Amino acid sequence: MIAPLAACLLVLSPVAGGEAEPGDAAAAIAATVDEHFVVAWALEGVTPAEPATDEAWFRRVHLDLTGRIPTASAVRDFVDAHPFGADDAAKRAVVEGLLNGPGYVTHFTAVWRDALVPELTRDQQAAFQRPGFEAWLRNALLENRPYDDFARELLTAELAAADMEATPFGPQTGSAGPQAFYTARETKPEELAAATTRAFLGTRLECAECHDHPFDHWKQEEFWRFAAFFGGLERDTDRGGRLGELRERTDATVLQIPPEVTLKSGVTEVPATYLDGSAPVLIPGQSPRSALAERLVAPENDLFARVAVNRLWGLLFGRGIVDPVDDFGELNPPSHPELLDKLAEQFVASGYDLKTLLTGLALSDAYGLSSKHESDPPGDLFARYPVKPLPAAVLYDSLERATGRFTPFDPTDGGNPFIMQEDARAEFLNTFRDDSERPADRRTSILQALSLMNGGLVAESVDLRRSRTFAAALSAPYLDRDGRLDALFLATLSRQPYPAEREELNAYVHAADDEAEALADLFWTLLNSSEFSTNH
Amino acid sequence: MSVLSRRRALQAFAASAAGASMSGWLPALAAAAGDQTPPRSVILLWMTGGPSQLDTFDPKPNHENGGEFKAIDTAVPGVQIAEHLPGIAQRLDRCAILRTLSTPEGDHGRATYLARTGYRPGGAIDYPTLGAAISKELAARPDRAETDLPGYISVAPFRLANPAAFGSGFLGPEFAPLVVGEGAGDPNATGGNALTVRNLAPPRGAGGERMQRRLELLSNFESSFATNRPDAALVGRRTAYEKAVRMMGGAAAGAFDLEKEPAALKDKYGRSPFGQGCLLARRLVERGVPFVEVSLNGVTGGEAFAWDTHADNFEAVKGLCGVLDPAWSTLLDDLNDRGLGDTLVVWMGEFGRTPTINPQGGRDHFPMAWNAVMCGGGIVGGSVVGATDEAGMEVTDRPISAADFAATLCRAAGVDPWRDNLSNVGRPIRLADPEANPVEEILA
Repeated sequence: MIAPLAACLLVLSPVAGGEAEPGDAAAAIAATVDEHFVVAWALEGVTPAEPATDEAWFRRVHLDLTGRIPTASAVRDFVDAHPFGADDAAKRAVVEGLLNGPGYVTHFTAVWRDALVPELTRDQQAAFQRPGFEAWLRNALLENRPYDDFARELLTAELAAADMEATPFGPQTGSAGPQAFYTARETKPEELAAATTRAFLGTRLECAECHDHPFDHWKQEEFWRFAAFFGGLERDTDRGGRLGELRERTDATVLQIPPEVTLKSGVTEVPATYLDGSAPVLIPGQSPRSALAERLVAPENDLFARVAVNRLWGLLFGRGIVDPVDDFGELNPPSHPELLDKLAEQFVASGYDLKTLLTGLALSDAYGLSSKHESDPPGDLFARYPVKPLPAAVLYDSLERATGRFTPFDPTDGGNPFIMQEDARAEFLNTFRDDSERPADRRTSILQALSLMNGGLVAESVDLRRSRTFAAALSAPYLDRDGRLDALFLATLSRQPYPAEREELNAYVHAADDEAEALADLFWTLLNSSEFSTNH
Repeated sequence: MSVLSRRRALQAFAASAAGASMSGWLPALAAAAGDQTPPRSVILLWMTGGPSQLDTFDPKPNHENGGEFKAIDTAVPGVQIAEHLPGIAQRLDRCAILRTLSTPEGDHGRATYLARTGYRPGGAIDYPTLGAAISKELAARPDRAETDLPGYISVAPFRLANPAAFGSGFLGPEFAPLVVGEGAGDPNATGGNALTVRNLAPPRGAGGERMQRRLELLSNFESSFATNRPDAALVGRRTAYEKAVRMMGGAAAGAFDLEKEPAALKDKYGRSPFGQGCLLARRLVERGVPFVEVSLNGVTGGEAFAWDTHADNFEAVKGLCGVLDPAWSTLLDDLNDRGLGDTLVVWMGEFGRTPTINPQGGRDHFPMAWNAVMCGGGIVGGSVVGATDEAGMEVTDRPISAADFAATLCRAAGVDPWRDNLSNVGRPIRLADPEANPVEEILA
């Protein structure tokens, strides 16, 4: 006799892609996700959304992995190549192609920069360090450097290498490196402690800086003891602000509490101590940071891998398994703890391989669900794909691609951030900037709406004389009206019109005095639509 | 093809594409202005760079630090201010001077953030500027008249020192200021149109009926896409588009048209970016905008840290007061004349300047003791709070922290300073620090 739940499981067990080849880490990760949710949805009595269409999935992975929509021709080729639907192998080829292309490096450079040192795009002084930091990230991503090495390198960075060189634009780093992590925090131990735990332990200790953490068990003195790992950092302030030369006294293992802070315990200096209360074994002459880094990335610290997995999960699925992604704590438990643990194990077993993890997640059934659902299942069940408003840079790059306006943006030129402010991209990013923590929390402002409706970028794009995409769609001799509609839809929404849309829009264009004008209005509408401005 | 048949085709499309069109868009585009008297609004006059307190509201004529300016009598017996603010001196019975702001930040960027949010920068929490937080509360009040304009408008800000100090932080872009006239130069040189909203008008050939058509197409796409997608982001996007379209309608767009004002009144405000900005502020408050700020960045516009008078302080302050005094005085009178005397008008910068005069005849950054002024609604006119010593170096009575000031501003605006919002770190944050002491003595 079969129990009712087991019967459910039999019916719902994954039909395709569940079987991982031995040694295929990415497929194993996808299988872990699939197996987990078959059970989780059955237990909750939730029916997941239908699978997304191939076009929707194709657009989704382009946005999530490379930060821009696919070209119209790429969508067309993908769909044409798989008339009966893309199978797992076809999808895998797409994901691997994207992860091995330049779009992945450019996009994830921005993703990691914003996660590790958000100050670089928010603070004028810190922005000087941006080119060097991005160059370091790009190299790490190009090599697909294991995540533990990447963290270790950041936390043990040789600080003297941050020497400033005079350039026509002011002082800049002489060598590309991770030092911006330190300079952006003005080398303050308390800020570095908070930044480190937030980035790699998913823990927000900031509150404990001034008082015992109100919602968690962290105590003020524990916080300052942890900060003492960064207590030897100094900068040569002769050159002022955050631009001074960095140095580290490696013998400084005790931190003097700054005079404006009074600890409740009354102590005025604290030794470097791990958050679990144990004392590090410090090697004379070596930075206390190296002891911290080794402890952080040690396999026994499973939090390190879980935080990384959760961060990438949050990026792809619109919310973390722990959500927000950097708020691990007793009072904010994961929605799927076993899943997170298993994925973290697999991530460690893969050698902290970020591309393998991304491939596995992107090929999972849950990631491939439609964003439409007739009821509204709770978001933490991941039973439908959420609607994620595009971040500013992704929206801009997608607009450029959709309108054929693409102007090469060379992130390797290390341009002066003040000069970059002048260009159209920077202006757009300024208008569309939103620092919301969760992708789904991004909100549209009035100025953003005005910019898309009336601004020059969209106006040019729908102007026959100035827009490449629009001119091509209108003038290509081999296109009939259906073909023109297809071209505009594929360029913007990465899909063909639905049959009802096609019928109505054909009637609309047919009824117009001026077909070009009617199509321009349609193109304007597509560029202003939520379907274009979101990942869904 | 006739307009009629085109319209029919459009309607057929509208009817089929998944039901109801987005309410409010089309009627609002043609809607007319309502003439209602709004509840209290706030106008913040922001003095970029940090004005010298000794040469404005805390003169020290009997001390060498006092410099070359004389002190003059005011409408309040026994209270003197510096000589280049004669108009405000006559109207001081409607104002309260806070003479003892005392803050810990002496760098423009950090101090601007502190003064404008009430919280020190650094750490993970993205605090909203008080304009965003206060306008959010005021706009939500049930007695607030309906307006097609956004709740917070910033006129000609100079944000370079710290853009985050002008943003809505964890409240999100919905509450960010609508910025007009950023980088605006001389309003006369640019035909008086320097203080307009960017992208408010459709490009040539895309307005009027054509825009209506586009919006109708869009509204059908939107309803169709939103079906079975219950995401808050889509609701937020729709709300922003609705507000933007309402602003594009004649009534709201007209609010920015200063050509509608009599030349004589424009002259009284002063033909400076700041003077015309104050006039614009009155027009906006008149139309129900809860919070407007106008920045004084320089005498003729184009300058930046106007009040950052490290050299030739006295000449610079005299010039700036020449722009400030008529604009501010006329604003107070004009608000009164139009029954808007209940508007709270606040004057401040990010810090004060050193009482000692440096060898360049300038004054440097000084956050230890500086001034702010509040006038109009919610304020006990003629009050002076706090005192500094003879040399202006130290607070001798009633130091006011940035948090105290933020709480006072909230109270004067009619907003509870202890209201909280969920912050970006998932923790509720009050408008003003819970340990703050509002300056009760100036609150009416």
